[in-house]
Amino acid sequence: MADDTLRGFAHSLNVEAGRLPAEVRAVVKKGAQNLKDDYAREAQGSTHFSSVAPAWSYDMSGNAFFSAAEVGPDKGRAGGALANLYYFGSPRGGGGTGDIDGPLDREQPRMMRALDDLLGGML
Amino acid sequence: MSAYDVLARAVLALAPGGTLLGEIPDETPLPWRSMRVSVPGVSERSEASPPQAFVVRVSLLISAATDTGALRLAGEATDALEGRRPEVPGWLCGPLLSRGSSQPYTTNVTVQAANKRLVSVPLSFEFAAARLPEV
Repeated sequence: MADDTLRGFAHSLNVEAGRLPAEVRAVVKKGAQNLKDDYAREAQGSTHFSSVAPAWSYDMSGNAFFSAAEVGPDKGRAGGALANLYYFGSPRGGGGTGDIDGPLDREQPRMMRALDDLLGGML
Repeated sequence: MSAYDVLARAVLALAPGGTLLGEIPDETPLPWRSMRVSVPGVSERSEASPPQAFVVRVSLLISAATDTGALRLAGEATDALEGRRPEVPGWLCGPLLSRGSSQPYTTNVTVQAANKRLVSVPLSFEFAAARLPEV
């Protein structure tokens, strides 16, 4: 009987864990979307670099073991070539008024909370 | 001097030689190391009202004639800054922590001598700084 219970528990765990990659991917994707929107909104408010806003995008990658998103301005899009000037300034040190940390600081706790909620619900 | 002035100078003292705060003047030979220090705001305030604790952000933009040169200098700067504590009389500073960097990218500035585009690598750090109470 105890053996059956243990087997049942292992089966449930297996089923639950099988759902995890897709749900983690959804959280990471949502975080990437929020970051993209926040960066674009911030750039939109710039007097000289508002054209950087539509260049923001993200790429998802991963498999059954990890999920990742690379968020950044796409140089292939209009305004993308100006992004390094907006965020890092000119090689001589001028400019660089874009806030590259703010959106990350705002999204990190939200995303961590969502992952916590997800993992808490699985256990 | 303001909090910005004293903290910026203390970080600059830890950076590799040749690092300048703000814009690099004309005629400065390569490589260029431009540092920006920002004090975004007061994270903790004492009840007596003077600002007490800050999070200080440090950005370093390193520019050289080649990818490998820029990366080597970025490595040197990281070694010089990561984990070091700025020393400022009247302040207690935490260690500088790297907030990451970017791959080298080609800028729109041409290196005349080599007839090629300048390559830049940005680095980012932050540290906490608390003003000690006066006694």
